[in-house]
Amino acid sequence: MRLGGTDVCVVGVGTSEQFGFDLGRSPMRLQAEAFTAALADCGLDRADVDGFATAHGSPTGVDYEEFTAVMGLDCRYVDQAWAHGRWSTGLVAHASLAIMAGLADVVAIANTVTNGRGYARHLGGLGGHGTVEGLRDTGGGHGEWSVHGVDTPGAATSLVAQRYMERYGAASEDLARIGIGFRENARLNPMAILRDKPLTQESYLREPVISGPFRRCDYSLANDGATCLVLAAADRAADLRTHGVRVAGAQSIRSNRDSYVLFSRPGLGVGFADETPLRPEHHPVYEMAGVGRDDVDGLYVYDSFSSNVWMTLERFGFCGEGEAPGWIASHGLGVGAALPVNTNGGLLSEGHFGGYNHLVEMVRQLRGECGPRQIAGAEVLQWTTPWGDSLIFTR
Amino acid sequence: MSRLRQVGDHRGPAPVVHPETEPFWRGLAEGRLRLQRCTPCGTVRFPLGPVCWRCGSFDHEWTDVATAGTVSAAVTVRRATGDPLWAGEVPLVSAQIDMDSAGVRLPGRILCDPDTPPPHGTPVDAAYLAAADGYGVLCFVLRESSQEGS
Ligand SMILES: [Zn+2]
Repeated sequence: MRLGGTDVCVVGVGTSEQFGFDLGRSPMRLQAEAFTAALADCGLDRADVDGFATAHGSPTGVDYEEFTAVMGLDCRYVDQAWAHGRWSTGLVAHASLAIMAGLADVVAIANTVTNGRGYARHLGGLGGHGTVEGLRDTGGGHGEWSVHGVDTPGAATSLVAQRYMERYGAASEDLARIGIGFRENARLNPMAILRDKPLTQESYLREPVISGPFRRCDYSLANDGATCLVLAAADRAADLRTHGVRVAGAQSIRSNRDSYVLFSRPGLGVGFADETPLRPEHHPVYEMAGVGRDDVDGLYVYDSFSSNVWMTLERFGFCGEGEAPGWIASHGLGVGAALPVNTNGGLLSEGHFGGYNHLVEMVRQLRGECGPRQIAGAEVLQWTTPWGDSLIFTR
Repeated sequence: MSRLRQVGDHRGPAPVVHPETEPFWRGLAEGRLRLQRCTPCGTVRFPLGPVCWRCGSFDHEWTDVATAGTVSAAVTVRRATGDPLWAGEVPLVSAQIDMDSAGVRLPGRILCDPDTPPPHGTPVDAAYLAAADGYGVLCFVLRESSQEGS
Protein backbone atom coordinates (compact mmCIF):
# COMPACT_ATOMS: atom_id res chain seq x y z
CA MET A 1 0.00 0.00 0.00
CA ARG A 2 1.27 3.43 -0.82
CA LEU A 3 0.15 7.00 -0.30
CA GLY A 4 2.06 10.11 -1.26
CA GLY A 5 4.92 8.00 -2.61
CA THR A 6 5.66 6.51 0.79
CA ASP A 7 6.11 2.80 1.51
CA VAL A 8 5.91 1.58 5.08
CA CYS A 9 7.95 -1.22 6.62
CA VAL A 10 7.80 -3.22 9.80
CA VAL A 11 11.25 -2.36 11.13
CA GLY A 12 11.17 -4.00 14.54
CA VAL A 13 9.39 -6.85 16.26
CA GLY A 14 9.42 -8.08 19.83
CA THR A 15 7.53 -10.19 22.31
CA SER A 16 7.36 -10.55 26.05
CA GLU A 17 10.30 -12.60 27.31
CA GLN A 18 8.01 -15.60 27.46
CA PHE A 19 4.60 -16.77 26.31
CA GLY A 20 2.79 -18.97 28.84
CA PHE A 21 -0.33 -19.85 30.73
CA ASP A 22 0.70 -18.09 33.94
CA LEU A 23 3.82 -15.97 33.78
CA GLY A 24 3.27 -14.02 37.01
CA ARG A 25 3.73 -10.72 35.17
CA SER A 26 1.20 -7.92 34.76
CA PRO A 27 -0.12 -6.82 31.38
CA MET A 28 1.91 -3.61 31.70
CA ARG A 29 5.08 -5.54 32.47
CA LEU A 30 4.54 -7.93 29.54
CA GLN A 31 3.80 -5.09 27.13
CA ALA A 32 6.83 -3.11 28.30
CA GLU A 33 8.97 -6.18 27.65
CA ALA A 34 7.62 -6.59 24.12
CA PHE A 35 7.95 -2.89 23.34
CA THR A 36 11.49 -2.73 24.69
CA ALA A 37 12.44 -5.83 22.71
CA ALA A 38 11.01 -4.41 19.49
CA LEU A 39 12.93 -1.17 19.90
CA ALA A 40 16.13 -3.05 20.66
CA ASP A 41 15.49 -5.18 17.58
CA CYS A 42 15.65 -2.20 15.23
CA GLY A 43 17.89 0.10 17.28
CA LEU A 44 15.34 2.85 17.79
CA ASP A 45 14.91 4.74 21.04
CA ARG A 46 11.73 5.47 23.00
CA ALA A 47 12.08 9.10 21.94
CA ASP A 48 11.80 8.05 18.29
CA VAL A 49 8.32 6.60 18.81
CA ASP A 50 5.70 9.23 18.10
CA GLY A 51 2.78 6.92 17.37
CA PHE A 52 1.16 4.14 19.38
CA ALA A 53 -1.71 1.75 18.67
CA THR A 54 -3.33 -1.14 20.48
CA ALA A 55 -6.53 -3.17 20.50
CA HIS A 56 -6.41 -5.16 23.73
CA GLY A 57 -7.01 -2.60 26.45
CA SER A 58 -7.58 -2.99 30.17
CA PRO A 59 -8.12 -4.93 32.27
CA THR A 60 -6.55 -7.95 30.56
CA GLY A 61 -4.37 -5.73 28.35
CA VAL A 62 -3.18 -2.14 28.58
CA ASP A 63 -4.99 1.00 27.44
CA TYR A 64 -3.05 3.35 25.19
CA GLU A 65 -2.73 6.28 27.57
CA GLU A 66 -1.65 4.09 30.47
CA PHE A 67 1.12 2.78 28.30
CA THR A 68 2.39 6.09 27.01
CA ALA A 69 2.37 7.47 30.55
CA VAL A 70 4.10 4.50 32.16
CA MET A 71 6.56 4.05 29.28
CA GLY A 72 7.38 7.76 29.11
CA LEU A 73 6.32 8.15 25.47
CA ASP A 74 5.30 11.38 23.77
CA CYS A 75 2.97 10.40 20.91
CA ARG A 76 1.26 12.62 18.37
CA TYR A 77 -0.76 9.72 16.91
CA VAL A 78 -2.62 7.09 18.95
CA ASP A 79 -5.28 4.53 18.16
CA GLN A 80 -7.12 1.95 20.23
CA ALA A 81 -9.54 -0.59 18.79
CA TRP A 82 -11.91 -3.01 20.52
CA ALA A 83 -10.43 -5.69 22.80
CA HIS A 84 -10.83 -8.43 20.24
CA GLY A 85 -8.37 -10.29 18.07
CA ARG A 86 -9.86 -9.04 14.84
CA TRP A 87 -7.91 -5.79 14.53
CA SER A 88 -4.49 -7.01 13.47
CA THR A 89 -5.00 -5.93 9.86
CA GLY A 90 -6.74 -2.73 10.88
CA LEU A 91 -4.06 -1.58 13.29
CA VAL A 92 -1.27 -2.25 10.79
CA ALA A 93 -3.14 -0.66 7.88
CA HIS A 94 -4.14 2.40 9.87
CA ALA A 95 -0.68 2.87 11.34
CA SER A 96 0.77 2.59 7.84
CA LEU A 97 -1.68 5.18 6.53
CA ALA A 98 -0.85 7.45 9.47
CA ILE A 99 2.83 7.30 8.57
CA MET A 100 2.09 7.83 4.87
CA ALA A 101 -0.09 10.83 5.72
CA GLY A 102 2.51 12.36 8.00
CA LEU A 103 0.58 11.87 11.24
CA ALA A 104 3.50 9.96 12.74
CA ASP A 105 7.01 8.87 11.86
CA VAL A 106 7.37 5.72 13.96
CA VAL A 107 4.34 3.79 15.22
CA ALA A 108 4.54 1.00 17.79
CA ILE A 109 1.67 -1.51 17.74
CA ALA A 110 1.64 -3.36 21.06
CA ASN A 111 -0.90 -5.85 22.37
CA THR A 112 -1.09 -7.85 25.55
CA VAL A 113 -3.26 -10.80 26.43
CA THR A 114 -3.70 -12.21 29.93
CA ASN A 115 -6.14 -14.90 30.96
CA GLY A 116 -8.28 -15.79 33.96
CA ARG A 117 -5.97 -18.56 35.06
CA GLY A 118 -2.95 -16.33 34.57
CA TYR A 119 -2.29 -12.78 35.68
CA ALA A 120 -5.82 -11.65 34.86
CA ARG A 121 -7.07 -13.49 37.95
CA HIS A 122 -5.55 -10.67 40.00
CA LEU A 123 -7.28 -7.97 37.98
CA GLY A 124 -10.85 -7.34 39.10
CA GLY A 125 -13.79 -6.58 36.92
CA LEU A 126 -12.98 -8.90 34.06
CA GLY A 127 -15.69 -9.56 31.54
CA GLY A 128 -14.75 -13.19 31.76
CA HIS A 129 -18.12 -14.82 31.44
CA GLY A 130 -18.26 -14.21 27.74
CA THR A 131 -21.83 -13.09 28.02
CA VAL A 132 -21.66 -9.38 27.50
CA GLU A 133 -21.78 -9.35 23.72
CA GLY A 134 -23.75 -12.58 23.65
CA LEU A 135 -26.63 -10.68 25.24
CA ARG A 136 -26.74 -7.93 22.63
CA ASP A 137 -29.92 -7.79 20.57
CA THR A 138 -27.81 -9.08 17.70
CA GLY A 139 -25.99 -11.79 19.64
CA GLY A 140 -22.23 -12.00 19.89
CA GLY A 141 -19.99 -11.32 16.94
CA HIS A 142 -18.78 -14.90 16.87
CA GLY A 143 -22.38 -16.15 16.85
CA GLU A 144 -22.87 -16.40 20.60
CA TRP A 145 -26.38 -16.46 22.04
CA SER A 146 -25.70 -16.54 25.75
CA VAL A 147 -29.37 -16.73 26.63
CA HIS A 148 -29.56 -20.00 24.68
CA GLY A 149 -26.48 -21.63 26.22
CA VAL A 150 -24.13 -20.69 23.39
CA ASP A 151 -22.21 -18.41 25.70
CA THR A 152 -18.65 -18.67 24.40
CA PRO A 153 -17.00 -18.08 21.03
CA GLY A 154 -16.12 -21.78 21.06
CA ALA A 155 -19.67 -23.03 21.44
CA ALA A 156 -20.76 -20.56 18.76
CA THR A 157 -18.03 -21.61 16.36
CA SER A 158 -18.85 -25.26 16.96
CA LEU A 159 -22.16 -24.48 15.22
CA VAL A 160 -20.16 -23.20 12.25
CA ALA A 161 -18.04 -26.34 12.17
CA GLN A 162 -21.11 -28.55 12.59
CA ARG A 163 -22.86 -26.89 9.65
CA TYR A 164 -19.74 -27.16 7.51
CA MET A 165 -19.15 -30.82 8.37
CA GLU A 166 -22.75 -31.80 7.66
CA ARG A 167 -22.89 -29.81 4.43
CA TYR A 168 -19.60 -31.04 2.98
CA GLY A 169 -19.15 -34.37 4.73
CA ALA A 170 -16.02 -33.56 6.73
CA ALA A 171 -15.10 -35.76 9.69
CA SER A 172 -13.41 -35.42 13.06
CA GLU A 173 -10.23 -36.76 11.49
CA ASP A 174 -10.27 -33.76 9.14
CA LEU A 175 -10.67 -31.34 12.01
CA ALA A 176 -7.84 -33.11 13.85
CA ARG A 177 -5.39 -32.56 10.97
CA ILE A 178 -5.51 -28.82 11.57
CA GLY A 179 -4.53 -28.94 15.22
CA ILE A 180 -1.98 -31.67 14.55
CA GLY A 181 -0.39 -29.71 11.71
CA PHE A 182 0.03 -26.57 13.76
CA ARG A 183 1.28 -28.57 16.75
CA GLU A 184 3.97 -30.05 14.53
CA ASN A 185 4.95 -26.53 13.47
CA ALA A 186 5.04 -25.45 17.11
CA ARG A 187 7.63 -28.10 17.88
CA LEU A 188 10.13 -26.03 15.86
CA ASN A 189 9.29 -22.76 17.66
CA PRO A 190 10.95 -22.23 21.05
CA MET A 191 8.31 -19.59 21.98
CA ALA A 192 5.35 -21.88 21.30
CA ILE A 193 3.54 -22.70 24.52
CA LEU A 194 2.66 -26.25 23.38
CA ARG A 195 5.98 -26.99 21.66
CA ASP A 196 6.56 -30.05 23.87
CA LYS A 197 3.06 -31.53 23.63
CA PRO A 198 2.84 -33.82 20.61
CA LEU A 199 -0.60 -34.37 19.14
CA THR A 200 -1.72 -37.36 17.08
CA GLN A 201 -5.00 -38.51 15.56
CA GLU A 202 -5.28 -41.01 18.40
CA SER A 203 -4.65 -38.54 21.20
CA TYR A 204 -6.92 -35.98 19.53
CA LEU A 205 -9.82 -38.43 19.33
CA ARG A 206 -9.31 -39.42 22.98
CA GLU A 207 -10.00 -35.87 24.10
CA PRO A 208 -13.50 -35.28 25.41
CA VAL A 209 -15.87 -33.33 23.22
CA ILE A 210 -16.53 -29.82 24.54
CA SER A 211 -19.15 -28.51 22.12
CA GLY A 212 -20.47 -29.85 18.83
CA PRO A 213 -17.55 -31.46 17.01
CA PHE A 214 -14.91 -29.49 18.96
CA ARG A 215 -12.42 -31.09 21.30
CA ARG A 216 -9.85 -29.23 23.36
CA CYS A 217 -7.31 -29.07 20.55
CA ASP A 218 -9.77 -27.26 18.30
CA TYR A 219 -9.62 -24.28 20.67
CA SER A 220 -6.87 -21.70 20.72
CA LEU A 221 -5.04 -21.20 23.96
CA ALA A 222 -5.96 -18.85 26.80
CA ASN A 223 -2.60 -17.48 27.84
CA ASP A 224 -0.43 -14.54 28.92
CA GLY A 225 2.03 -12.62 26.77
CA ALA A 226 2.59 -9.56 24.62
CA THR A 227 3.76 -8.60 21.14
CA CYS A 228 5.02 -5.42 19.53
CA LEU A 229 5.61 -4.35 15.93
CA VAL A 230 7.36 -1.08 15.06
CA LEU A 231 6.47 0.57 11.74
CA ALA A 232 8.26 3.35 9.90
CA ALA A 233 8.57 4.73 6.38
CA ALA A 234 10.82 2.74 4.06
CA ASP A 235 13.44 5.50 3.82
CA ARG A 236 13.69 5.54 7.61
CA ALA A 237 13.90 1.77 7.61
CA ALA A 238 16.92 1.89 5.34
CA ASP A 239 18.96 3.53 8.13
CA LEU A 240 18.15 0.89 10.73
CA ARG A 241 19.99 -2.25 11.69
CA THR A 242 17.17 -4.59 10.65
CA HIS A 243 15.94 -5.44 7.19
CA GLY A 244 12.62 -3.67 6.86
CA VAL A 245 9.71 -5.87 5.81
CA ARG A 246 7.34 -4.03 3.49
CA VAL A 247 3.64 -3.71 4.28
CA ALA A 248 2.86 -4.35 0.64
CA GLY A 249 -0.89 -4.81 0.65
CA ALA A 250 -3.92 -4.67 2.88
CA GLN A 251 -7.65 -5.17 2.73
CA SER A 252 -10.08 -4.59 5.57
CA ILE A 253 -12.52 -6.80 7.36
CA ARG A 254 -15.63 -7.14 5.25
CA SER A 255 -18.71 -6.40 7.27
CA ASN A 256 -22.25 -7.26 6.22
CA ARG A 257 -25.01 -9.69 7.14
CA ASP A 258 -23.15 -12.55 5.46
CA SER A 259 -20.04 -11.86 7.54
CA TYR A 260 -21.66 -11.22 10.90
CA VAL A 261 -20.62 -14.52 12.45
CA LEU A 262 -16.93 -13.88 12.37
CA PHE A 263 -15.64 -17.44 12.27
CA SER A 264 -17.94 -18.55 9.47
CA ARG A 265 -17.64 -17.49 5.83
CA PRO A 266 -20.14 -16.03 3.38
CA GLY A 267 -22.44 -18.62 1.88
CA LEU A 268 -22.18 -21.19 4.63
CA GLY A 269 -25.57 -20.15 5.96
CA VAL A 270 -24.71 -19.48 9.60
CA GLY A 271 -26.07 -16.59 11.62
CA PHE A 272 -28.03 -14.16 9.45
CA ALA A 273 -26.27 -15.23 6.27
CA ASP A 274 -27.93 -16.82 3.28
CA GLU A 275 -26.96 -20.37 2.43
CA THR A 276 -25.56 -20.17 -1.07
CA PRO A 277 -22.76 -21.69 -3.12
CA LEU A 278 -19.41 -20.05 -2.32
CA ARG A 279 -19.20 -16.98 -4.53
CA PRO A 280 -15.76 -15.87 -5.68
CA GLU A 281 -14.73 -12.57 -4.11
CA HIS A 282 -12.31 -9.98 -5.36
CA HIS A 283 -9.32 -9.67 -3.04
CA PRO A 284 -7.58 -6.38 -3.83
CA VAL A 285 -4.78 -7.15 -1.38
CA TYR A 286 -2.96 -9.01 -4.17
CA GLU A 287 -3.11 -6.18 -6.68
CA MET A 288 -2.04 -3.70 -4.04
CA ALA A 289 0.95 -5.85 -3.21
CA GLY A 290 1.70 -6.51 -6.88
CA VAL A 291 1.61 -10.27 -6.43
CA GLY A 292 -0.72 -13.13 -7.22
CA ARG A 293 -2.04 -15.80 -4.93
CA ASP A 294 0.42 -18.28 -6.43
CA ASP A 295 3.31 -16.06 -5.34
CA VAL A 296 2.48 -16.51 -1.67
CA ASP A 297 5.26 -18.45 0.06
CA GLY A 298 3.46 -18.93 3.35
CA LEU A 299 -0.01 -18.34 4.72
CA TYR A 300 -0.91 -17.11 8.18
CA VAL A 301 -4.48 -17.69 9.35
CA TYR A 302 -6.40 -16.40 12.37
CA ASP A 303 -6.90 -19.84 13.91
CA SER A 304 -8.80 -19.09 17.09
CA PHE A 305 -10.66 -22.29 16.25
CA SER A 306 -9.50 -25.07 13.98
CA SER A 307 -12.36 -24.72 11.51
CA ASN A 308 -11.31 -21.11 10.78
CA VAL A 309 -8.67 -22.62 8.52
CA TRP A 310 -11.31 -24.26 6.30
CA MET A 311 -13.21 -20.99 6.07
CA THR A 312 -10.14 -18.98 5.18
CA LEU A 313 -8.68 -21.37 2.60
CA GLU A 314 -12.00 -21.40 0.74
CA ARG A 315 -12.79 -17.71 1.11
CA PHE A 316 -9.42 -16.71 -0.34
CA GLY A 317 -9.62 -19.32 -3.08
CA PHE A 318 -6.70 -21.52 -2.12
CA CYS A 319 -9.14 -24.35 -2.74
CA GLY A 320 -12.75 -24.69 -3.83
CA GLU A 321 -15.95 -24.85 -1.83
CA GLY A 322 -15.97 -27.77 0.59
CA GLU A 323 -12.48 -28.80 -0.50
CA ALA A 324 -10.45 -27.48 2.42
CA PRO A 325 -10.33 -30.72 4.43
CA GLY A 326 -9.08 -32.62 1.39
CA TRP A 327 -6.63 -29.83 0.55
CA ILE A 328 -5.15 -30.03 4.04
CA ALA A 329 -4.97 -33.83 3.94
CA SER A 330 -3.08 -33.83 0.65
CA HIS A 331 -0.96 -30.66 0.99
CA GLY A 332 -0.13 -30.61 4.69
CA LEU A 333 0.46 -27.47 6.74
CA GLY A 334 4.14 -27.82 7.64
CA VAL A 335 7.21 -25.80 6.74
CA GLY A 336 8.02 -28.25 3.95
CA ALA A 337 4.57 -28.03 2.36
CA ALA A 338 3.98 -26.29 -0.95
CA LEU A 339 2.16 -23.63 1.06
CA PRO A 340 3.23 -23.68 4.72
CA VAL A 341 0.52 -22.41 7.08
CA ASN A 342 1.09 -20.88 10.54
CA THR A 343 4.73 -21.87 10.87
CA ASN A 344 4.73 -20.41 14.39
CA GLY A 345 2.18 -22.98 15.54
CA GLY A 346 -0.72 -20.54 15.33
CA LEU A 347 -3.12 -19.46 18.01
CA LEU A 348 -3.81 -23.15 18.55
CA SER A 349 -0.27 -24.05 19.62
CA GLU A 350 2.03 -21.03 19.87
CA GLY A 351 -0.57 -19.07 21.78
CA HIS A 352 -3.45 -16.66 21.30
CA PHE A 353 -1.92 -13.24 20.92
CA GLY A 354 -4.62 -11.84 18.68
CA GLY A 355 -2.79 -12.76 15.49
CA TYR A 356 -0.02 -10.25 16.16
CA ASN A 357 2.20 -13.23 16.93
CA HIS A 358 1.58 -14.40 13.37
CA LEU A 359 2.66 -10.98 12.10
CA VAL A 360 5.83 -11.15 14.21
CA GLU A 361 6.52 -14.58 12.71
CA MET A 362 5.97 -13.26 9.18
CA VAL A 363 8.54 -10.53 9.75
CA ARG A 364 11.08 -12.99 11.12
CA GLN A 365 10.45 -15.41 8.24
CA LEU A 366 10.98 -12.66 5.69
CA ARG A 367 14.24 -11.74 7.40
CA GLY A 368 15.32 -15.40 7.28
CA GLU A 369 15.66 -15.68 11.06
CA CYS A 370 13.54 -18.75 11.73
CA GLY A 371 16.12 -21.52 11.83
CA PRO A 372 14.63 -25.01 11.56
CA ARG A 373 11.19 -23.67 10.69
CA GLN A 374 12.43 -21.21 8.07
CA ILE A 375 10.44 -21.18 4.81
CA ALA A 376 13.21 -21.43 2.20
CA GLY A 377 13.41 -18.27 0.11
CA ALA A 378 10.36 -16.63 1.70
CA GLU A 379 9.59 -13.38 -0.13
CA VAL A 380 5.80 -13.00 0.02
CA LEU A 381 3.75 -13.90 3.08
CA GLN A 382 0.03 -13.39 3.56
CA TRP A 383 -2.07 -12.84 6.67
CA THR A 384 -5.72 -13.86 6.32
CA THR A 385 -8.84 -14.31 8.42
CA PRO A 386 -12.22 -15.94 7.85
CA TRP A 387 -13.83 -12.50 7.90
CA GLY A 388 -11.95 -11.41 4.85
CA ASP A 389 -9.22 -9.01 5.90
CA SER A 390 -5.66 -9.59 4.80
CA LEU A 391 -2.14 -8.21 4.82
CA ILE A 392 0.72 -9.07 2.51
CA PHE A 393 4.25 -8.53 3.76
CA THR A 394 7.14 -8.74 1.33
CA ARG A 395 10.86 -8.99 1.78
CA MET B 1 -50.84 -18.94 14.25
CA SER B 2 -50.50 -21.73 16.77
CA ARG B 3 -49.63 -20.98 20.34
CA LEU B 4 -46.26 -21.90 21.75
CA ARG B 5 -46.12 -24.44 24.51
CA GLN B 6 -44.23 -23.70 27.71
CA VAL B 7 -41.77 -26.56 28.08
CA GLY B 8 -39.92 -25.48 31.23
CA ASP B 9 -38.23 -22.63 33.02
CA HIS B 10 -35.29 -20.65 31.73
CA ARG B 11 -32.20 -21.21 33.88
CA GLY B 12 -29.57 -19.26 31.95
CA PRO B 13 -28.73 -15.57 32.11
CA ALA B 14 -31.73 -13.27 31.93
CA PRO B 15 -32.35 -11.80 28.50
CA VAL B 16 -31.56 -8.12 28.11
CA VAL B 17 -34.97 -6.62 27.40
CA HIS B 18 -35.51 -2.96 26.59
CA PRO B 19 -38.56 -1.07 25.42
CA GLU B 20 -37.87 -1.49 21.70
CA THR B 21 -37.49 -5.28 21.98
CA GLU B 22 -39.96 -5.96 24.78
CA PRO B 23 -42.82 -7.22 22.53
CA PHE B 24 -40.69 -10.19 21.46
CA TRP B 25 -39.86 -11.34 24.99
CA ARG B 26 -43.30 -10.55 26.42
CA GLY B 27 -44.94 -12.31 23.49
CA LEU B 28 -43.04 -15.51 24.15
CA ALA B 29 -44.38 -15.65 27.70
CA GLU B 30 -47.87 -15.28 26.19
CA GLY B 31 -47.20 -18.21 23.87
CA ARG B 32 -46.68 -16.02 20.80
CA LEU B 33 -43.73 -15.89 18.43
CA ARG B 34 -43.76 -12.25 17.39
CA LEU B 35 -41.20 -10.61 15.14
CA GLN B 36 -40.97 -7.25 13.44
CA ARG B 37 -42.36 -7.03 9.90
CA CYS B 38 -41.45 -4.05 7.74
CA THR B 39 -44.57 -2.15 6.78
CA PRO B 40 -43.52 -1.00 3.29
CA CYS B 41 -41.64 -4.10 2.08
CA GLY B 42 -43.03 -6.89 4.25
CA THR B 43 -39.67 -8.32 5.28
CA VAL B 44 -39.74 -10.16 8.59
CA ARG B 45 -36.41 -9.50 10.21
CA PHE B 46 -34.02 -10.98 12.71
CA PRO B 47 -32.13 -9.91 14.75
CA LEU B 48 -34.55 -7.53 16.41
CA GLY B 49 -33.83 -3.98 15.38
CA PRO B 50 -35.38 -0.57 14.73
CA VAL B 51 -34.89 -0.56 10.98
CA CYS B 52 -35.40 -2.87 8.01
CA TRP B 53 -32.11 -4.22 6.70
CA ARG B 54 -33.63 -4.70 3.26
CA CYS B 55 -35.26 -1.31 2.57
CA GLY B 56 -34.14 0.94 5.42
CA SER B 57 -37.63 1.79 6.65
CA PHE B 58 -38.31 2.40 10.33
CA ASP B 59 -41.99 1.52 9.93
CA HIS B 60 -42.88 -1.91 11.22
CA GLU B 61 -45.45 -3.89 13.14
CA TRP B 62 -45.05 -6.83 15.46
CA THR B 63 -46.51 -9.89 13.78
CA ASP B 64 -47.07 -13.48 14.82
CA VAL B 65 -45.06 -15.81 12.60
CA ALA B 66 -45.42 -19.53 11.93
CA THR B 67 -43.75 -21.68 14.54
CA ALA B 68 -42.54 -24.54 12.33
CA GLY B 69 -38.89 -24.72 11.40
CA THR B 70 -36.05 -27.02 10.46
CA VAL B 71 -32.63 -27.43 12.00
CA SER B 72 -29.84 -25.57 10.23
CA ALA B 73 -27.21 -26.73 12.71
CA ALA B 74 -27.45 -28.12 16.23
CA VAL B 75 -24.67 -28.85 18.69
CA THR B 76 -24.46 -30.38 22.12
CA VAL B 77 -22.66 -28.05 24.51
CA ARG B 78 -21.00 -30.38 27.00
CA ARG B 79 -18.85 -27.91 28.91
CA ALA B 80 -20.11 -24.41 29.65
CA THR B 81 -17.07 -22.25 30.25
CA GLY B 82 -18.80 -18.91 29.77
CA ASP B 83 -21.66 -17.97 32.03
CA PRO B 84 -21.55 -19.90 35.36
CA LEU B 85 -25.35 -20.17 35.21
CA TRP B 86 -25.00 -22.67 32.39
CA ALA B 87 -22.42 -24.84 34.14
CA GLY B 88 -25.08 -26.89 35.91
CA GLU B 89 -27.31 -27.13 32.84
CA VAL B 90 -24.98 -28.93 30.44
CA PRO B 91 -25.10 -31.01 28.40
CA LEU B 92 -27.64 -29.04 26.40
CA VAL B 93 -28.48 -28.81 22.72
CA SER B 94 -28.45 -25.37 21.12
CA ALA B 95 -29.19 -24.66 17.51
CA GLN B 96 -30.00 -22.35 14.68
CA ILE B 97 -33.41 -22.97 13.17
CA ASP B 98 -34.56 -21.98 9.69
CA MET B 99 -38.18 -20.87 10.13
CA ASP B 100 -40.29 -22.34 7.37
CA SER B 101 -42.33 -19.30 6.37
CA ALA B 102 -40.89 -16.20 8.07
CA GLY B 103 -37.61 -16.46 6.14
CA VAL B 104 -35.44 -15.95 9.21
CA ARG B 105 -32.99 -18.14 11.08
CA LEU B 106 -33.55 -18.10 14.84
CA PRO B 107 -31.29 -19.27 17.65
CA GLY B 108 -32.55 -21.38 20.49
CA ARG B 109 -32.11 -24.53 22.50
CA ILE B 110 -33.72 -27.77 21.35
CA LEU B 111 -35.09 -29.69 24.31
CA CYS B 112 -34.04 -33.19 23.30
CA ASP B 113 -31.61 -35.97 24.17
CA PRO B 114 -28.15 -34.34 24.24
CA ASP B 115 -26.54 -37.54 23.02
CA THR B 116 -28.40 -37.27 19.72
CA PRO B 117 -28.47 -33.63 18.58
CA PRO B 118 -30.71 -33.55 15.49
CA PRO B 119 -29.06 -33.24 12.08
CA HIS B 120 -29.61 -30.50 9.50
CA GLY B 121 -33.13 -30.56 8.14
CA THR B 122 -34.83 -32.06 11.19
CA PRO B 123 -38.32 -30.55 11.65
CA VAL B 124 -38.88 -28.70 14.92
CA ASP B 125 -41.53 -26.49 16.46
CA ALA B 126 -40.99 -23.36 18.50
CA ALA B 127 -41.79 -23.44 22.22
CA TYR B 128 -40.78 -21.30 25.15
CA LEU B 129 -39.19 -21.37 28.57
CA ALA B 130 -40.62 -19.11 31.24
CA ALA B 131 -38.18 -16.44 32.42
CA ALA B 132 -38.41 -13.84 35.17
CA ASP B 133 -40.32 -10.56 34.90
CA GLY B 134 -43.03 -11.98 32.66
CA TYR B 135 -40.72 -12.75 29.75
CA GLY B 136 -40.13 -15.94 27.83
CA VAL B 137 -37.08 -17.44 26.11
CA LEU B 138 -37.52 -19.08 22.72
CA CYS B 139 -36.66 -22.75 22.39
CA PHE B 140 -37.63 -25.65 20.16
CA VAL B 141 -38.90 -29.20 20.40
CA LEU B 142 -38.63 -32.01 17.89
CA ARG B 143 -41.68 -32.19 15.66
CA GLU B 144 -42.68 -35.75 16.58
CA SER B 145 -42.67 -34.94 20.28
CA SER B 146 -44.59 -31.72 19.84
CA GLN B 147 -48.15 -31.65 21.16
CA GLU B 148 -49.16 -29.02 18.65
CA GLY B 149 -48.21 -28.71 15.02
CA SER B 150 -48.33 -25.37 13.32
ZN1 LIG C 1 -38.33 -3.10 4.46
